[in-house]
Amino acid sequence: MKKILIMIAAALLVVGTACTKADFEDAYPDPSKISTTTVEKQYSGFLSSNREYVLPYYWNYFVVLRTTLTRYTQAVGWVNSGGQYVPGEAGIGAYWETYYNLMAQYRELEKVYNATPADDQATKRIYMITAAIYLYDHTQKLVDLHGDIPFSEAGMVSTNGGDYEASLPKYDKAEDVYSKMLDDLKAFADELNTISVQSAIQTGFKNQDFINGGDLDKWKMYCNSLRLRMLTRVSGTSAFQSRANTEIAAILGNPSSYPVVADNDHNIQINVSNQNSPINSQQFQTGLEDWNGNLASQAMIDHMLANADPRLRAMYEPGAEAGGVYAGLDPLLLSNAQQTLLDAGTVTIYNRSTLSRNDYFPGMLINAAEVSFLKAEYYLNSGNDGAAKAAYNDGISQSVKNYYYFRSLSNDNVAGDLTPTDDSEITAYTAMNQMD
Amino acid sequence: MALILFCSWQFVLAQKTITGTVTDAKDGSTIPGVNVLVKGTTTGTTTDLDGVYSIKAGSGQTLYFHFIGYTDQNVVVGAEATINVKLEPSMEQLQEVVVTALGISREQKALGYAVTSIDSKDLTKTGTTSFATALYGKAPGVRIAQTPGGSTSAVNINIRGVNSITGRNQPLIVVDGVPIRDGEVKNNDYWNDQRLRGNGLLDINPEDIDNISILKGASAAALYGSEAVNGVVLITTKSGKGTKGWSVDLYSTYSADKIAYLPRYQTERGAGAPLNVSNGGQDEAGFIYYDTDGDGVKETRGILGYSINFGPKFDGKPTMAWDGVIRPYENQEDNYSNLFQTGLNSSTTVAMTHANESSNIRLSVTHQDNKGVSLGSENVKNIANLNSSFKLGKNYTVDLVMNYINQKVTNRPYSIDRLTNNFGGMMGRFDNGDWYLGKYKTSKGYRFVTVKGTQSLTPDENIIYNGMRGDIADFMWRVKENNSIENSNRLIGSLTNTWQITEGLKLRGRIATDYTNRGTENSNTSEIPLAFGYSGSFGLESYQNNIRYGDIMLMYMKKVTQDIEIGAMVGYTGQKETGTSMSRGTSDGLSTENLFDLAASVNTPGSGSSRYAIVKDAVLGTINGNYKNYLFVEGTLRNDRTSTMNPNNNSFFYPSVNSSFVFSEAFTMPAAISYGKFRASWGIVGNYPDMYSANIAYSQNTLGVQAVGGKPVLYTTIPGNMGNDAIRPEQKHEYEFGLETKFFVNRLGFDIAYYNGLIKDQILPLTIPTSSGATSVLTNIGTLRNQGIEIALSGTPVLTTNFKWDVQLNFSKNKNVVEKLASGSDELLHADYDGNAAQLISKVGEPMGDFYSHPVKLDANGGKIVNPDGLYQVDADTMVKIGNAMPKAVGGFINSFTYKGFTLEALVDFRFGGYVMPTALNWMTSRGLTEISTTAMDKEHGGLSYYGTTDANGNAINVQTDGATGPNGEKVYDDGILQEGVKADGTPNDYIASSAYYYWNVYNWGGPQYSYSRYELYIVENSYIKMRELSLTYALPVNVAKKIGAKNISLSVFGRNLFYFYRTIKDMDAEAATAGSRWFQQVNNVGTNPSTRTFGGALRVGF
Repeated sequence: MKKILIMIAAALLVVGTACTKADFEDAYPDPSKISTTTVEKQYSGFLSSNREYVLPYYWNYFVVLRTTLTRYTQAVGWVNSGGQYVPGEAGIGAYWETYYNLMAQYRELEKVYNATPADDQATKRIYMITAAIYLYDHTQKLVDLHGDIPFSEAGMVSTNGGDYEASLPKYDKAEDVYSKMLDDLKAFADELNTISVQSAIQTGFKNQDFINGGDLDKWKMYCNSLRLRMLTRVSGTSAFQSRANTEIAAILGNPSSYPVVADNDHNIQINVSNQNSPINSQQFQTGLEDWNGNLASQAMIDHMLANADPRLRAMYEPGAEAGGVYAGLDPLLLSNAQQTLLDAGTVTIYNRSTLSRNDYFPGMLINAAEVSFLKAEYYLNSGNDGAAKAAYNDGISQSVKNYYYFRSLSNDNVAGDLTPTDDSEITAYTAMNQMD
Repeated sequence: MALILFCSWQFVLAQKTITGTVTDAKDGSTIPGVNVLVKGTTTGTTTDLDGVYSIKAGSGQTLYFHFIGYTDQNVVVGAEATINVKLEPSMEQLQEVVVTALGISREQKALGYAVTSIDSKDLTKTGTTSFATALYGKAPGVRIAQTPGGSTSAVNINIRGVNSITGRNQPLIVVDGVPIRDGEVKNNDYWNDQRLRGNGLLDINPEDIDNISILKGASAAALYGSEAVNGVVLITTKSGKGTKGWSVDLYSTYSADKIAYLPRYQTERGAGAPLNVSNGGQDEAGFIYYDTDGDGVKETRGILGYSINFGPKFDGKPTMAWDGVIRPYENQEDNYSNLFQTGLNSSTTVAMTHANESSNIRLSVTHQDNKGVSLGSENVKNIANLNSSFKLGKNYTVDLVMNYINQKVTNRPYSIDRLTNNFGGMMGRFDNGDWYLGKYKTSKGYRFVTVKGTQSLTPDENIIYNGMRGDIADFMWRVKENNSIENSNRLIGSLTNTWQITEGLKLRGRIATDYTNRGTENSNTSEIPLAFGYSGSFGLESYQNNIRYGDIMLMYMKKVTQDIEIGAMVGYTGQKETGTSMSRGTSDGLSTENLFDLAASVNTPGSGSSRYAIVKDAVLGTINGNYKNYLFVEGTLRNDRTSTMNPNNNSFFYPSVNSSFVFSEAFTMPAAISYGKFRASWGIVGNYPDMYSANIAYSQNTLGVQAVGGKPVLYTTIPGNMGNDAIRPEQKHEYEFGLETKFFVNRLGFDIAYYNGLIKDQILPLTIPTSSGATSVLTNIGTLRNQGIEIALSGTPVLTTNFKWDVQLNFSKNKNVVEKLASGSDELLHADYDGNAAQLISKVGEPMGDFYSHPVKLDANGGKIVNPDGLYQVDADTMVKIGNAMPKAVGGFINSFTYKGFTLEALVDFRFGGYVMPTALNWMTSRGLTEISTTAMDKEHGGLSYYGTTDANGNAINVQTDGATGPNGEKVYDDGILQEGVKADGTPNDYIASSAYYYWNVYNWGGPQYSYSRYELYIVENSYIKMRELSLTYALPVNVAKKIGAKNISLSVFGRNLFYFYRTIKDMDAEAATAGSRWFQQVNNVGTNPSTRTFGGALRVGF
């Protein structure tokens, strides 16, 4: 009897410690992650995955832009040094990788969408159209920076079940990427005019779409404005010239079917509404101001001073020791001389209240000023000088007002109160010699 | 060396030949092979097959008889010529047993693989607070490295090199047969965690350890399967076994840690720079002046507020320091050490044992109190250990082992990252830690305020003079005012039942737990008055970890014939580890100053949580046999499952075989050879992937409400680091040969092992082009090989009645090679430092961890190009290998001298090879703080004279001169350095650089696109020979001890980490870069805590 009891005790020990297959299955996945998602949630994940390159975040401004585009365009002034035009890997790679993360999230969205039943796919079509528009906006930027890029086969490793050797994508020719995008966007422009979104779907879409708040009209404007930008971009090439002229004419000639962003109220941008959410602009300050990344270039300041640009006081502020005098940094000075100017505190900097310390600065995608300038370029090339000038002046006005609008969002006043502008000041500016 | 010493002494006495027969006292049979030694000499022999010996000895000398399994016997030689001896069979002599996998004790000679066994007395000689730090140099093939910071900082153990390229590198720790929580740490991640963390092995009290077995090879550890690729450390705690009646032991130790091995600071000059290098408004002499009395005249001398220290030389004249005190302008000795305190450690253990026929118990209680060098840090531990065994009836035994650790850690050491890896925190020479202690807070208790006129309740106290390093003041504020109190309780307990079913058949079952519960309170003092804003914070954290473990084993042993014995075992083990952590903290400051509670949160308190679970189990079996007790073979097989792999693909087999042949028992050996054994083994062990890394799942999060009237925007993303459901464990296939010999009646011993391990299926997050849709995919792709030798040499060169000298040399050499990486890729990037300044890469055909950096640019003829500013041009387009991070050889050299009651023991440990990149040290050079940065600082230091001008292209250049001024009256400076090389036009370089400019720029931060820094100079070999432990012990004579009722009393003084005999990096402790559990966290960061040197004393009393 005693031995039997002992054997039972031993058996109990085994049972008590033995693991079942269910134990292993339960412990395999991370409990804080989920194994399935929905079109809605993945859509927002896709849109937000490159938010740090749409809103003014630190890395984009300090690492990427400070040593690359803002220098190449003389948007900023800087102290000369050796190899100053050679971009570091960090400046190039970060932007590239962010784009392909966006692409990976887009492919995942496609994968989730394709796995839903066909009738659900039909009702959720709006998600795919708008996602593609947003993807193409950023694809165009990457093509413009790099030329040929992996596109048609890119981002497929998850779709291919992790087979990374089968997922190494080919490079598509820049022209082919443009053609594909232009074809698709044209089709979207028409489809958006006819699509009907069930109200149940629209409710969810309105919430998940933090760019346009589910506003289909704004998506139409985004789509057509984007077409305008892309067509203008390639309008000088023989391959696209005739297509560009035809399609731009079609867009501008039929604003009811193909609306574009025509005033600042319709700017396509990500608004900052909640400082405690990941959609904010709090890193703008360090991103722009660190290492004197916010110095004004001489070209900008000289031009704005000479023409009494109403944006000057909104965009810039004089150096701390400059006695209120605006002065950009001369790029032709030796670095020692530049550094001395810097140390003396006389160089103009970007307006901290309007820009870098404006926690509500929106993430800009397409605005009315840009569209007006695109129109002006088209009219000018097609010999319609009057329309070109009108569009150009519209653009100036929209741009000026936009900067004052940015300042109105700001919660910072370190740069001092901003004297408002008015139409007469803008008109005077557009009438200046260099502007006329 | 030991061999030479053997020959160095002789006794000259009247010698005669003595013969005799040695027999078994019980059955009267003769015993062959008994060691017979004339005590105090090298003279020795062994008995022949008939038990007969013959030896030369003089009257009065002592003959010593030794044979395994019998009690030693001493016989004093008299007039007789024949001495017959009867040896008593001894239970004690069977002690040459070793604890092996799963806690099974086996005879040392039966093992076909290398096991290093370390006895308790070798762990406690110098009062180390952790058993792991007591292992330096004591086991061949084992490398120890501790993160500086004191008793709460993690200790790394590396066995036979590094076995995983990116995975775990730490061995499995098993206490009394039960795997315990150890945990990995990462102490180089300042921005996520400012305090230095420890690992679980620190909780095991060295005083409670009876012995440690280190299972190094795959065969030794094969029964631990996929947990054993890094080896296994088996700890057996002390018990009452083998004692009788009551005994009580008292052990008390006290020691102090002093900061040591700081860089060699320059002592000649303060902050600033020569005018021609940087003009910050200083005068020709390098000073600036303040108007302190408000008369409009700037009359008080001060220094520039620069972080670089190429300023004026110390002249002892009155100068304004940043704290507003005018002091002689002098080098401040020990200024950096003044930011810290002396660490004080004490530990007292009282242990009671009681044993009788049916039970034995050991109960010990330990109180430890350790203050680290970080201000305000203290670690108080109470440890209770119960180890008991009860016989229930004739065939049934119950063992109960409980280890309870109650710990209160106040302010874990604060990382000094901001003082080393940061220019703003590097203390100049005219600056002092003491000044910060007085100024880091205002008289009203708020954080210091800088700049005249800045809002403060005490504007007069604002720091307005140059020279304060803001990051040091900030460090001081954080160390003193951010308080963190951790209370934890840990219970490691096991219950083992053993049933001897019949003769030779045994059933053993065990359940065990390792449970930890820890609560932390973080209180950060308010920094500014409430009227100016909210500051300060309070947070609560709780952490629980629980390991449940169980095993059951059926063991069988039978003698088949007179000569052949076989055994077999089958068993099952299962283990589940779960953990949760939760935290909650105030948000946006405290609503009432210094009210430390969540209720004081200005906004809704924030929170965080995580949880995890790992499940493992295994079925295992062994079969073994021996022939005549001198030829042994054993085979083992384990099949295990782990939850970190796909449940449909998580079952793997781990076989091993090993054999040992004790040739000294099989054959008659020459008299000099007392023992000889050859061993060979082969086995497979593994390393499973990190928890949750294989599974592919979406991250879910929220963007919050983004529109008026909207709902929170929930979103998912697919991670950029793809998992892999088909992942397999890393597998090490290793074979090993060894030879163990003892000579001259065990006076000299050799143990040599060769091993060769191939670690296949390395789990790597393979980097793929991001355009594929992920940044990396988890793959089984690399192959690694570790091969090496381990030598243990021990000897007793001198053995006389009163004096004994023991020597032990442990040496191991490991060669690591990456044999394969991904197809189409022959390198793996581990880290890119400081904007492509340097890289840590593993390449096929090389050992893991090559440091690459940019060389100096060469022109077409191979000349080093010098820029007009006098510095070499760094080649931004190429990187070359500078050194490899893997140490080549490690070991220890132990000497022990005993004279009467005194024992002096000295342990030297060493490491050869292995490069590190201590960037912070070089940045100190860039700040002009190290001795090397004074090179050429003036004529006396070898500086060249030059004047500054402009060349035809408008470049500012310096031209060497002998004149008192330049040709156009330019000022002449005397701190010139000339680099050997060529100018852009190919002519020999004559551009002079100012020494200050040179050191400032060549040792600066950043890759070629950011700076002129030459990181190739930062990457240096880290070899050393160190006086690790020195102890002197005096055991009082027994009759003195008896007077106070004790059985024995001993007193000792000791020192640890005392000095270097040799080191390649003179400006830091060789272990300063140890900042995490994985190898690549141990090569770069020197921002943990200062290293220390320890002195102490101990008292041991047995009743």
